Amino acid sequence: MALCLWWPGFELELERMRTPSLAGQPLALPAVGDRRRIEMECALAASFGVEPGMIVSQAIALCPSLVLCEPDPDFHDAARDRVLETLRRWSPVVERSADRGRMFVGVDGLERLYGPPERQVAGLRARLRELSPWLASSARIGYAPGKFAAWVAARSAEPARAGGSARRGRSAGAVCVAPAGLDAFLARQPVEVLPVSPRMVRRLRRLGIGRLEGLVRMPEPALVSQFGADGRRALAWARGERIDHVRPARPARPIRVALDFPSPIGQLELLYAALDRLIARALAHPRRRGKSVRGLRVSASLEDGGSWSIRALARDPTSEPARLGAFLRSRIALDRPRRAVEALRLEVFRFGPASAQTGLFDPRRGAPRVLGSLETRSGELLPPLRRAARILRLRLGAAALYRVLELEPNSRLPERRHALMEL
Amino acid sequence: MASARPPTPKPPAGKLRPLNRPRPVRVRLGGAGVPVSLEIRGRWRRIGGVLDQWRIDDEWWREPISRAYFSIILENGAHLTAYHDLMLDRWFLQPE
Repeated sequence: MALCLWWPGFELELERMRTPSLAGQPLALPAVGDRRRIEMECALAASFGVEPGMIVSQAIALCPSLVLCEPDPDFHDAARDRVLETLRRWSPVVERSADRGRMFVGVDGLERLYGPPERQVAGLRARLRELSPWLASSARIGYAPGKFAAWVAARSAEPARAGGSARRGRSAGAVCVAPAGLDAFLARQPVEVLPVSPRMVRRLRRLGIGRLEGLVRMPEPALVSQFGADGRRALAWARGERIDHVRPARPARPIRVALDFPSPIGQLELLYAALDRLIARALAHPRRRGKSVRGLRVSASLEDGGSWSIRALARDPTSEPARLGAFLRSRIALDRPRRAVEALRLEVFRFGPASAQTGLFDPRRGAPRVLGSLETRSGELLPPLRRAARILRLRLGAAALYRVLELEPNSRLPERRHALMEL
Repeated sequence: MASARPPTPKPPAGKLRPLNRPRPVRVRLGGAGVPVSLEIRGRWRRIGGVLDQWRIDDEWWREPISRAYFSIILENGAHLTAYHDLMLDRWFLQPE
C-alpha cells in the first residue's frame, strides 16, 4: 500500500506564506530556465485562462492583475526537504517525485503501529501540523495499493479546508481505497490521471474514451496497435494490475562547499574563477575519494534577495576539475544569474563509479593509449605508470611492478610463452 | 624482393623473470605409472581423477625434451597440471 501527499501549487503557496500580502492575488511562477514562460499558476490565475507553458506577456494580457513570483528554487527545495524529513520520521519508505508538491510514503506494515488507514492519515496530519499548520490542512492525501492509485486518490480528494460531509473511505482532504475496491475506484477516473503523454490523452478523448472504465473495455491488441507500449501500460494501470511500490530514496550524503563574497560579484569571469575553487574543494573532500562526480548543483544567493540555481547531470562521470568546470560553464551560459551574486554554493549530489576517474592507467593528454595495453600509440609506457613504478622501486628497494612480455606465445611449453619484465 | 616476415621485436630493456616456471613435486604412483597423490605444501593430496594426458617430445637437436603431462583434479576439486620429465625422471607441477 502507498500513501500519496499532494499540495497543488506547492511553490506558490510557499510564496504566499512568505509574503502574506500575496493572499487573494492571482499568482504565477516563471520557469527557472526560461523566464519568459509560465511554469505554474494558482487556481485563481487558472480561472483567468493562465496555463503552464504560456508566454508571460500572454498570461498578463489574460489576467492583468497577475503577480509573477521570483523563482527561488533553493527556498522551495529546502521546504520540500523539511517535509520529506518529517515523513521519514513517520515511515522509513519515502519517495519524492519530480513535482515538489507530490510525495509518496510506503505504508505496508504500519497498520500495527498507527492503526487503520483513516487513523494513519490523521496521525500523519498531526505530524505535519508540527511543521506547519498550512501543510497539515492543505495536504490532499491518497491511500491505495501502489503509487498510481494513491496519486489518483490524492487527486480526487477534496481540499480539507473546503469541508463537506465525509463519505465512506473519504475524510476531509483524504481518500482511502481498499484493494478490493480498487477496480471500481479507478473505473470512474478520467483518462487525464494516466501518466502518459498529453497527446495520448487527447487521442483517447477523440476515440470517445473519457474514463478509465472505457479504456478497460478496449482489447489490449487494439490499444497496443494504436499507442504501442504506452497503450499496454495504460491498460495495466487502468485495470489496477500494475502496482508500483514506493521506493525509498536513500538520502544521499552530498558534498556541499560554499564561498561568501565580501561584495557581490556580477562578472561572469569572477564567478567562474570562484566556481573553479569550489570544484577543487569538493573534489578534495574525503567523501569523494574513490568516486567520480556525476550530479552537481550550483546555487547562489543574489543581491537584493532571491536565489538562483542550476542542476546538471554529467553524461560521463569524471573527477577532472577542468572537465567539470567546462561542463558547468556551459550550463551556466544557458541560464546565468540575473543579478550580482553574494554567495556561491556547489553541491555534489550524485557520484559515479571509481573506474571513471583519472587514474594510474589514464593516458597522457595527446598521447592516446592503445586499447588493452599499457603503452601509448607512440610506443612509450604511460607516464603515470612509469612514475609509480619508480616510486615503488625506491621505497621497496626492489622492483615491484612487472609487465608480462610475450616470448614464444605459441610454444608447446607453457614456461616459454611469457616472461616478466621489470618496469 | 621484400619478404613478408613480421618485424623482429626489440629486446626488452629491463630485467626478465621467468613466468609459469615448473615446480618440482613429489608424487605417488599407481599401478600404471599414473599419479594417485601429490605432496603440496607438505601435505599429501589424493588425486580424484585424471582428466587428460598427453606427451611432448621436442628439441631433439639440442637438449631433448620429453614430458608426459597429466591434467588432474584433486579430491578437493583443485585442477592442476603435472608432468613427468622422462629425461630427468622427475615430476613437476606446471603452472599455466
